[in-house]
Amino acid sequence: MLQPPTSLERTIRKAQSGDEQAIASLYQGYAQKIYRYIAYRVPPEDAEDLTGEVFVKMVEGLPTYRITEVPFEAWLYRIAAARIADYYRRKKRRVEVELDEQTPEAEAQPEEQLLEQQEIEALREALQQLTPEQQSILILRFVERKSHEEVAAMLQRSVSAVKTIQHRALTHLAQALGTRKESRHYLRGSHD
Amino acid sequence: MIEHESDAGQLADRLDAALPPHQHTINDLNGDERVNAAARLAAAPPPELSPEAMARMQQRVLEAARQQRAQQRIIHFHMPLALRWAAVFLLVFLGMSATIPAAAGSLPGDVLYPVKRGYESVERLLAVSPDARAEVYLTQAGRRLDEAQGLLARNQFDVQLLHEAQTGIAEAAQNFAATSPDVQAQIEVRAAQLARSAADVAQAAAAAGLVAPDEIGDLLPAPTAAPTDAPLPTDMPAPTTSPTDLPTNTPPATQTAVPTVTPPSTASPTPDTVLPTAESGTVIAGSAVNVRKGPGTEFEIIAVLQPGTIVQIIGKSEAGDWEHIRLPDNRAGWISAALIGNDAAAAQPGNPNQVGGGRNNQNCDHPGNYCNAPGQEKNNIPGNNGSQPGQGGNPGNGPPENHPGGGNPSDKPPKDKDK
Repeated sequence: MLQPPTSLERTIRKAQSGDEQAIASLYQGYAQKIYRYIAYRVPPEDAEDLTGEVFVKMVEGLPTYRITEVPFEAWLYRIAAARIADYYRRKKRRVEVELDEQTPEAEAQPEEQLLEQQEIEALREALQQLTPEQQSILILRFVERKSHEEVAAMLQRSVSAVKTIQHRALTHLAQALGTRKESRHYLRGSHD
Repeated sequence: MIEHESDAGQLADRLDAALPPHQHTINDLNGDERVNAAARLAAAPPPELSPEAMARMQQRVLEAARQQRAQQRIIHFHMPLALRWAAVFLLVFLGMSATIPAAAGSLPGDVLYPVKRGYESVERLLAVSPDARAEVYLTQAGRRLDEAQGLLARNQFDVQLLHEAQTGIAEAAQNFAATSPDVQAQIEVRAAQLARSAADVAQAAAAAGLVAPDEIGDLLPAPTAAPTDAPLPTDMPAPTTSPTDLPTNTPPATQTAVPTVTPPSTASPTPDTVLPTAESGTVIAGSAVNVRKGPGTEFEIIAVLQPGTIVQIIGKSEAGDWEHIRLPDNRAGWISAALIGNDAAAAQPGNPNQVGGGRNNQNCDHPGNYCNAPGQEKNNIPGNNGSQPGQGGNPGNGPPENHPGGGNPSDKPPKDKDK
């Protein structure tokens, strides 16, 4: 899905000159990633809209975007982070901690899907209690499975700063998740 | 602090062992609740956009790209920087010298006329985008007509000039297919005006006995439409085209003889103009609507349009309940007629999807042509008022609120979501 740097750069340059195919291919290459990032940080009903906004902003900003050693996707994540911050400004930081019971229509969904949704909901709520930067780091590290070094490059922080923030963030996340009893054993992998 | 840092380092190592980067595996978690929390994040099935959502959003993104291109078209040459600078230097050099302004008014047979034509080939070279090419061809066709009129004032006539003008109009029409809707409307009107002017000049020449009527037959729109007395006076001022200032799009003959929006071709009974029929409509449904392969819901969906999107209407189903439309990306499709409104401005006031201009007004008498309501088209003539506010000194920039390249994508509240 992701292209080697040179071909990505070529695509970016084409997109900068308005080539629709290039814009579409950038969109297709990053849409799911950006959506995942956003969907862990805002309610599902708004995540899609915000993702769309990110790519509209990308289109608007492309003509002035400069290719540097900072990865292109870092720019997209930055736009996404700004959109999310803006979203919460607009919402006047109305954090709903109350867990909604499933609506009757939700019965139509397969049980497993419901469980998955609940787990994501639980994680999202726990993440909400962290700072935006902590959220970014955890999502990039464990949803996108990026290395400490990659995350540091993307956020333009030092590796040790990333590790320190990660440490604090996971401590908070564990606490936040620990206060909730449901979905304890969702893990696919082996564990003690 | 140092202790904290080493804690963080140890945790980082444990995380790398349990959840190695770039892999989906989850190894031994060691019972650490922080590693556990990270593992839950890694193990949860990630939220995913459905294919429909992906397609819907792509449509929105490409629409934004089109709108942006429409804004930048006039000032933005799509060519390498070096070539652009070379072109600018060439133009400045030529423009500063006294030759070109003097040549601009020259007529065939004059000493400086070849200079003028040479300058024009530079103009064509610079016009890289279809829009710019259409613009240049029309402008140059207008100059040929000016020249023909200038010759008439000298009691001369050169049918070749009119044929060249005709070719220019045809070239513009060829590029026209690739242009965006708002420019299409303007080009269409101007092409019609030019065709009318060419006919006028030809008739004037015939009336003055400078050319045999059968030599100019192909320049006249319809035999019956030809007035016997041409309105062209011999005291027509010589053309005042200057190279730095692109000529106005309304040739003198048109100013005096023709109302701006009534091209001659419509005088014939059929709307068979040189240019394709372009009527536009706006998606007026409250939410996104489907575009289908054929006129009916049983046909495959080929695109989804957001409310307020302006499309070109190219036909209707037999029952009249489906409109055959051309999408902004030039594909054709069908859309339920109930979901399409004809008055774009009224249908969705303030809708961000509108591309501005190029809208049809059904009250116009001449199907196949756009009608300009007074004040409706602010940027009526692309070549002439290329400097839209905020664009001129700021090429290639999005809305001023937006500075993503600088590391701060946007702090301003965005426009209202249109979903």
